[in-house]
Amino acid sequence: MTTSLRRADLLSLSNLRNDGRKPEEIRRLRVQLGPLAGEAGGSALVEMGLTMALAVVKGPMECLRRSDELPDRAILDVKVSAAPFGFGTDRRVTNANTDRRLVEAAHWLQKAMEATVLLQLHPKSRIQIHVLVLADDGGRLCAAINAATCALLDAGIPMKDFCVACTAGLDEDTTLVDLNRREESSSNGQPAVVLPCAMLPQRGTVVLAQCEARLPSTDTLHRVQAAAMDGCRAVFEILQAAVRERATTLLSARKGHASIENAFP
Amino acid sequence: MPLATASTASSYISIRDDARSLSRNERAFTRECALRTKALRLDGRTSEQVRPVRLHMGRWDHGAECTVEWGNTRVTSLCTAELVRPNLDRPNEGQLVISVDLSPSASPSFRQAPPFTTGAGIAGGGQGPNYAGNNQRLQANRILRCLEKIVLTGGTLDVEALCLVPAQWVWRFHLALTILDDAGNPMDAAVMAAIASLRHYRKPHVDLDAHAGGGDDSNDPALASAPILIPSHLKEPTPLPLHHTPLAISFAFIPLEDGSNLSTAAGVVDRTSSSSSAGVVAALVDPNDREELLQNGSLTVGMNIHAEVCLLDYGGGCELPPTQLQECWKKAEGCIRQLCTMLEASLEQADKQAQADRLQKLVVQQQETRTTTTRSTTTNNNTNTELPPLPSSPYFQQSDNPGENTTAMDVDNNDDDNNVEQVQTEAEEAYRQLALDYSQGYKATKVREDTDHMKHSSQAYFNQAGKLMKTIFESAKSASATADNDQKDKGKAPTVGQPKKQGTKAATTTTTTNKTGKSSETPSKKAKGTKAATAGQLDSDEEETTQMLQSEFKAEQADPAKPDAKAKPMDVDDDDIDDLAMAISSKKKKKKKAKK
Repeated sequence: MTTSLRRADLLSLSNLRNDGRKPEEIRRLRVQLGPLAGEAGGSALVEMGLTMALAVVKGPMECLRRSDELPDRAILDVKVSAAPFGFGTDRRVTNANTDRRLVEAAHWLQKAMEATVLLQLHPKSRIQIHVLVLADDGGRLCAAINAATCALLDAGIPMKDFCVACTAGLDEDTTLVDLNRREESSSNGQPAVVLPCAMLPQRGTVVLAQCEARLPSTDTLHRVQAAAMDGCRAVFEILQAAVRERATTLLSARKGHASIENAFP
Repeated sequence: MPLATASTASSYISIRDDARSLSRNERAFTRECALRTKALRLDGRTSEQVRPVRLHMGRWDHGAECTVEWGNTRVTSLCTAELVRPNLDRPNEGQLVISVDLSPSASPSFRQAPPFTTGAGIAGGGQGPNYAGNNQRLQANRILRCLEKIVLTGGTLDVEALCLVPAQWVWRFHLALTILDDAGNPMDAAVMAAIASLRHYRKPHVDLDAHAGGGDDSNDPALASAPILIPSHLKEPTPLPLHHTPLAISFAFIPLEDGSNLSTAAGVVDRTSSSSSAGVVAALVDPNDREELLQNGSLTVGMNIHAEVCLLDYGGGCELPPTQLQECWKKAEGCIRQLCTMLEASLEQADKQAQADRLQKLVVQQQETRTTTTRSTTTNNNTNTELPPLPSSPYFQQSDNPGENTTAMDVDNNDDDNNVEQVQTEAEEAYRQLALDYSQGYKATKVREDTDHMKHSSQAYFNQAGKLMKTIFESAKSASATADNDQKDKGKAPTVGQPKKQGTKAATTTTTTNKTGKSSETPSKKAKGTKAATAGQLDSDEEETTQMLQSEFKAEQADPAKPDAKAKPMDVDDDDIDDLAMAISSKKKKKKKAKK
């Protein structure tokens, strides 16, 4: 009898993860800028593996309430919601205003963007960012941040740099980059080490870092943090290429050489 | 982030929130101070010092609370538990419900809102995108999420250990935090309060066999099979199984470039200057409220004393070079170590205090039960004086057995199970009446209880026992009695007697874990062989005389010599051991009398 080699064994033998990636490899990243063409603003659809996030940006515009506005800068009005359909998202309808995880994600997104966007150029205004997570296979927050960055660029809002995000984790002393849902979920009763991290790659500064699991020391934290930053740089390359391509298309469309397709894939 | 000041142009007048706005001068000055090489803050701290922290803790039968005063920030945490049916999805896990309430007392910028909770939350958010309300919401949510991560996912409280009967009964813990005063950094104070109250909490024992119990819940058919929580005076409750004790520390980030330094002439970022100054960020540990308004970003690190990180919450807001992030972690290690040691010391102290309080309560309860039985007997009989042992008295029933400690103990057990509740209510009633009865309040208690004691409990019990037993019991009783009486008669008990009393009390309490609150017999048993016993006996002699004197004033104690004679040993037990010398002398006297 020939013993069949299971996929899991094969993966572990060659030191690959459960979806066949190497530990430092990120998932397939697809970016589409401006899928919602009708929006007077910007939009972006980012797919990191199977996780899909759609971001829509409107603004700068007037604040809803005069009491909200700041005299020297714009405010960011961020909302993150998860679609009840879609792979991986919660079947229960989660209210974006009250669900504590979504409110937390929105708060982080707002903070990360506040560090990136040049808010001082638009005093007393409001920039509204709405992110809809269509499918969640791990790295929901990172996909949201990447989508928000691209949408802001698509809307033409001035920013200091790209704000890219990527998760990193730890699996028995090997640092993994860009965890999917299976790797994020806790195994053997211990929560998995997941460190979503956002940075400004060209400036080399970190704007967001979260970790929930228990780590034995701060050195481990350094390692995981460094791995996350490597992942962010890889994401940045892809995003930058996508933005450049979009800009080229727009320029040539203006000259009449090409037409812009906004087909929603 | 400062809110806008009132706009004059429109009719829409916005209210300036003084607690949340910073004047330009204040802003500039604080920034300058923070960004110096050796930062000196407005309250005199360096950038690495934490404000002084004080903890107040309390514990009662089914809960624990902790109030943390972190500088001027005040947070209260309340930890209670109940037994519930588990969640169907997770039949082997306990539950933890955390709720955070940023009350309006904390800051004028907070509105009255339902607390943010992890349990069945109240569907809020009816106001729409209210930015001021948002701030409160976001802050409460942040504290809630950090706590959830530290306590649940960080592995502090093992929810599987909270399971009592798999798939039937689990513990559900409620951790309710209220921010009473927000003077900056409520996050760290909240985490410390929550962890301290979890550590201070003692879980009661549970009687799973509901039908055998005294019947607290057995009246309710729905809860007929519910396990009964054994009150703490019967069985000593146990601490919670916490894996480790993490604490959190927060940093405020104030970057050099605030954005206002950018050259906005062409709307182009001055690349060179910004990249060179991007690295300069001041990191202040434990910001106060002014610095919190000023900060661009904040970082919270949760660690335990062994520098195991269990939470990293860097919520962005400003750019940070990764090296500086790592530096902050190192700083956090040192601060957290300090905080952890301080927490341990406070917990120990509070625990001792709680134990002492519990002992006192137990002794008082014993006294009260004796008083109650006395009262019940008196009310039953029209004649207030003489009280022959009443068959209805539980103590008397027990005393039928000869003086074997074990049998008596067993009887005590049964008695406890059956009558504890009744006795408690009687005790409360008796105590209330006692408090209102002025003629009896003044050191009459001592005497009365002695008479009760001798009347009911130990008569047959002690008479049958050998002399040694008798003396032991008497001393034990008098020890507990003296303990109670000492509490009531302040001036009477000399300090010499106090340590003795305490010792007896402790002896009685610890030994009578199952039978406290019942009879004086148990304390006497426990005090076997202790010096206090002898002291008690000695005391009884003293009390005998006092009894005789005071019995005139009391109906119950009108009973002359006979009960007195018999009660003398009992009296000794009931009375506190005021004076060791007196006790010894009275013991000798009592022995003589007993022989007689």
